[in-house]
Amino acid sequence: MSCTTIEDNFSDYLEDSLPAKLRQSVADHLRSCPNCQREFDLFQQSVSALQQLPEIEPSAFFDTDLQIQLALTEMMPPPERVPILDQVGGKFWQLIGSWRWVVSTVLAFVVIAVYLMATRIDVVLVSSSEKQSNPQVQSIEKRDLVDEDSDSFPFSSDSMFDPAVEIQQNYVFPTVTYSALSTGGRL
Amino acid sequence: MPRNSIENEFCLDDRLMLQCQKGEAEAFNQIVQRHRTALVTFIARLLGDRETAEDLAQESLLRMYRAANRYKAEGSTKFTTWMYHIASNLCKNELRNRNRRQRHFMVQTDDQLRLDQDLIATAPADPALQPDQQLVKKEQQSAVQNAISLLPETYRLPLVLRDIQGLSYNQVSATLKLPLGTVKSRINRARLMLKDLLKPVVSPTER
Repeated sequence: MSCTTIEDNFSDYLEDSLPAKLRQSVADHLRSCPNCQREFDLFQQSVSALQQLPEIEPSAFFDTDLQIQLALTEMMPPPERVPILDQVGGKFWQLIGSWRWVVSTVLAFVVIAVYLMATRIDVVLVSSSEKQSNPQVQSIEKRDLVDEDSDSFPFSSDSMFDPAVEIQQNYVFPTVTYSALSTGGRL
Repeated sequence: MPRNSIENEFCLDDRLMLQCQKGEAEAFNQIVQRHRTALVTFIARLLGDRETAEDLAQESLLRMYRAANRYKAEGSTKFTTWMYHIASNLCKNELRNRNRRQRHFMVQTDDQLRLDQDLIATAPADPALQPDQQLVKKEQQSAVQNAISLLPETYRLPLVLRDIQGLSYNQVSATLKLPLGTVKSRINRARLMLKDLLKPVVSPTER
């Protein structure tokens, strides 16, 4: 046994709770190493000094103070602590009993999952409905088709007679095309 | 104390708690009389402050009284561990509050400044010792109390429960809700720290 590990066994050695073989090796080491023997003596003295500390008697007012506080407790019993789940769910949680935390955790996960799915669906719906409802996007797509097929005049016949739409189309055209390219069709 | 006697003591606590559950106020008074000194000693040695110790001992007893109906008598050492568990939790809160106050104000609190003075002053003098020996003994007790207060909370609690309150390792483990191995290693580590702190005071040549 080395000097560094012997300290780990000081308490067990002092209280005589080491297995016989280990106890013998600790005793052998202490006999052969004066430094460790001195440390163990200090250890023993410290524990002894600690155990000899006297008891501390409560003051003369301790009982009186306590009786007053007990009487106050009797007069004003503390409000019954209702668990937060019982406050929220009432009888439902009481019926579930000890499974309440499992059930509440599962419910929490379900709520989170539903929320995530809803937001995901929302994004998909918005991106697809925008295509359907936004005439500018449709017209841009038409224009793309026209551009691919031929070099003829790009605007549809409906918008040709409305100058305002035409201006808006020209304004929106590069933005939508750019975002459609970079996000793969989603806004 | 013989084993049978110890078991009877524990059973007496359980019996008193059962009577308390039936509404017999006198039963709780008996519990207070039996354990108040142990509680005050435990908390005072842990915190190094008698006044706070009395307050927290009273608070522990009040909590025990309020929770008496939920107490289930299971014999053995249940009552002692239950009592020290309640007191330990209050002490942990107090130590945490003190640390917070210290961090905020960067000064020693009054509690620490008057550490151990009243604890040592009230210790009964040993009539077998000469006045100078009594003085030396009181100085040693003061040094031990100071050394306890310098230990980290995680080591201080099991050490006080084991070496001052005299609980077994199993009882300390049940009180602090820690594995037995952890408790044993913390107590050994705490004793080693204490040995280093008390080196100037405790002399191995006293043997």
